[in-house]
Amino acid sequence: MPTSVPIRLLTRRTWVQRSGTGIAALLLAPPLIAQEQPLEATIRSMSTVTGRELSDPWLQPTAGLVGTIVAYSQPLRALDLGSIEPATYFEAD
Amino acid sequence: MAEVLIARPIHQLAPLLEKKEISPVELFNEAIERIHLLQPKLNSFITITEAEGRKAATEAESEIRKGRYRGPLHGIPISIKDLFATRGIRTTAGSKVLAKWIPDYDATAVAKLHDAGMVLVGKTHMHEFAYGVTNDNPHYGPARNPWDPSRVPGGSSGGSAAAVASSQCAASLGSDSGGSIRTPAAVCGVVGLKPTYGRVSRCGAIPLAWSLDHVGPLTKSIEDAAIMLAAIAGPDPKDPSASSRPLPDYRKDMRESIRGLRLGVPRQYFFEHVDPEIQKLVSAAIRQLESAGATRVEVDIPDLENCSAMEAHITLAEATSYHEPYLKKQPDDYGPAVRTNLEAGRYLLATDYVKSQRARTLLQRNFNEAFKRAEVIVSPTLPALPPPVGEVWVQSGDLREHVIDAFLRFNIPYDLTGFPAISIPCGLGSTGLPIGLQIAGKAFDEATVLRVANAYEQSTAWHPSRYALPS
Repeated sequence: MPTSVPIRLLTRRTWVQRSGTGIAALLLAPPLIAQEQPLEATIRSMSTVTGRELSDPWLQPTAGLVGTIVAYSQPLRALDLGSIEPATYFEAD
Repeated sequence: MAEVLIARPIHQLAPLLEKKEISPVELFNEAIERIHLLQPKLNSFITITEAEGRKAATEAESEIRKGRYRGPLHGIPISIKDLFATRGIRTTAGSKVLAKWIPDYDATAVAKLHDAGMVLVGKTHMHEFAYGVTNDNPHYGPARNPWDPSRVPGGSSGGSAAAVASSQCAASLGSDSGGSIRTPAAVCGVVGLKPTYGRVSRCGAIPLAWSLDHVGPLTKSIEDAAIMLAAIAGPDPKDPSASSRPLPDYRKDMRESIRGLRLGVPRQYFFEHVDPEIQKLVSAAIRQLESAGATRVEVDIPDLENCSAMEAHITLAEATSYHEPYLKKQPDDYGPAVRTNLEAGRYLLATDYVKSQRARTLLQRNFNEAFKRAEVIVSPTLPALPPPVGEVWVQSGDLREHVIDAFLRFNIPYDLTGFPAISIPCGLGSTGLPIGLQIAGKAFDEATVLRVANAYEQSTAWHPSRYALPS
């Protein structure tokens, strides 16, 4: 993949998603590697919370996708919503 | 393509059927012939319902002959996205997980179309569990674009859009959680309407994300979209989100003039990083609407940059929640991309999910502020042309991006807000591929959305039933 083309974090998310194994994605996206190795360890350790073990070949792409989504969620996390409640789309008829 | 009856829109076929000038059996035979001709090339269907359709066509013919005409959908060949439960007919959701599921009930929207007298010709191809935008399906092969079969038809209702565009049926029922009606409609050059959340019951539609899922039609004309919406909309005790708000007369209201109507053109987000040909044709379409009497008004809609994150948190969490039982029992039956999404949904924070749901309220408020200045908001449906099958990168003007990011970008604000939005064809680019114009309105104001769309359609040549579509 050409590294000279600017790629938003968002596209890394969907690229990892598409690849399935994610190995190629991890090799070609160095900034994500450092982020994703602790994430893989975190995801492995969450098996007691989720009740489910996640192992290869799904661990790497899952960690990649989670890491990317978290990275581009920072503006959302910083958004001040005051006392706004979750939306509902229908009125009680 | 030689003009055949099934190439005509529903609103032209219906009077011929009512007056018995053509027979539903005749129309069905044309549709099924085209399906068999095009299925090897376009792969628009997962299940072709020839026996059921012939029976329905024969019954419709008998009823109409006896004077029991049900309305504009009576005897019309229609396809249903394979996401919707159809009694006695395999419903796969484009998956291996449900490959053998034969429901014992109809989805509410399907039942309503049966009551209206439709002739079901088949269950259309879709992206696995509606969890994608290309219709490149690892279990059933890729669906293909009728305008260029080397390219994707868009998704996840890609089979539906392709089938309508290539006259394998007169209309189709689709679903939209991140653009899955509007994206393939734009890519295949047909009309695709995502109604307001709650306007059409979701009962019987396999969910992708309950709070984002919408049900709507794909058709050849605006009037056909109005006909289909009138048939499928309304309350449903089996769907707590289905509104009992009264239905307008969409076919009547859509003919009203748009003189003085304000077209909102967003200053942010919706015109950034767009293919120049798409930009040119959409701009021309807006000028055409101004010629028809509308007034262009610039509007500001803040916080749209959060839409991608909001969509990700909501979709991944809700989809994983639905799929938990299947992920436990048969995880290897999922395609790799969908499996990765579903696994990832477990590891996103509940607080981010709730924040995303709260941010939807803010987004609704921001749009409603814009709707104080304009009756509708217009934009391109998509920023880029569809890629070849198997490719995932597209060029959105100056930005090279993944097709998922590109195809979600202009669609998801209306899934997140629940507001109605339609994609209508507004021309062919130099590649010969259709371009879509998106028109969105206030909650439950499908009537105005259809009115603006109809004004454009009536004033231009970009109408799918007038295209010379390759056979």
